[in-house]
Amino acid sequence: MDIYAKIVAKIIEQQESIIGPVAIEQAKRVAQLKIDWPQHKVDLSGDPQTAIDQLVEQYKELFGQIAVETCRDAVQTMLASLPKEQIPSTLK
Amino acid sequence: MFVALVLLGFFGWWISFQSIVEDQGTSVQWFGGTYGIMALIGAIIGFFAAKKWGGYKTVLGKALILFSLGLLAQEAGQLIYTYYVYGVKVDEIPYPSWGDVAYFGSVLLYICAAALLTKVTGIKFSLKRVKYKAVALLVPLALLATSYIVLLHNHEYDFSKPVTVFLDFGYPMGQAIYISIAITAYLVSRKLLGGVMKSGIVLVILALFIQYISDFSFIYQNSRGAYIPGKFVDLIYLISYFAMTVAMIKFHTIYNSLNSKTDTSNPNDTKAGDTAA
Repeated sequence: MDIYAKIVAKIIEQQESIIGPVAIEQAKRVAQLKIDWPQHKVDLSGDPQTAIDQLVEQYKELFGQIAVETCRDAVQTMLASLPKEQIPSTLK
Repeated sequence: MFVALVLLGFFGWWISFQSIVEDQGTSVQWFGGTYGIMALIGAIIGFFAAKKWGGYKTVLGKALILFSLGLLAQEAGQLIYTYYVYGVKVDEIPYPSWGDVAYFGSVLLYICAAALLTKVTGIKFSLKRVKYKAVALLVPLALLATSYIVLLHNHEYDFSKPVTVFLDFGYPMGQAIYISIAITAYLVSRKLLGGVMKSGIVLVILALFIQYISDFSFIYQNSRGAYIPGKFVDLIYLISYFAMTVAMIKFHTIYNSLNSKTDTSNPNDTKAGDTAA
């Protein structure tokens, strides 16, 4: 998986640890994500930054701004390896 | 709706004997022995809600399980005390007794549940700010100090009975701990916490607050020999069980509403999604 797919997987994993299967269902609503969660496989289509922004927005619907902080915290190590302009806007 | 009817039923019953509550007649006895059924209903609903949110495998699932076990422990305490008073007909309920295992158990369960709730509310992010660090320190201190001053100041401990001493101290302090965790979690994260989950979390915190009020009131009155079964303290306990039950129902309805939004055209679904129970 490329870095963006890994970011998506990490975010879903982190949210799953809090709210369980609902986290997976929320992620599946993002059209640009193809998720095979039993295999922990994530494929992105289109602009990956937009896909991640939409994923974070899904969780923001559940918990508000806390969800954004939680997602950012989960992937901050991975974000450090990305140039600033390649970081999804919701995770900046 | 069913739960609201149960509450109204017990409330009407409570009102019906208030003019003669001092007589401690059969109606009061039956009320005291049965209103805990609200806690039992809440516990059952809570266990089902916990399962939907991932059960013991998730933070929220664990919190809901612990809140449900807390309700169950409350009902167990009620039943044990009812058995002592109206079954065995003891002159004085032993202290400590098996009822205290249940009641103190519920305090410990609520402390653990409240701690897990702080993880759900993402308290660690808010605590990066100095202002909220101060809140996280001062609110528990204030509540613990208040509980100690009002309930334990000048209390005489019988050190020949260490378990009694432990409970004398443990009950008010334990209750202050769970409510201070819950209130701190709310105060510190309320600006960041939003979305559909907020209402469920706020309801749980409100229920814990009402539970604390009822526990505080009971200890206050009981320590002064002023507690009379069937009066306001029992009504507040009933309301606290109702509030926690409503909170458990809320998590059910939140799950169901999220599930109903999952449509069959979801690009990641190859079969129809789960339907709400």
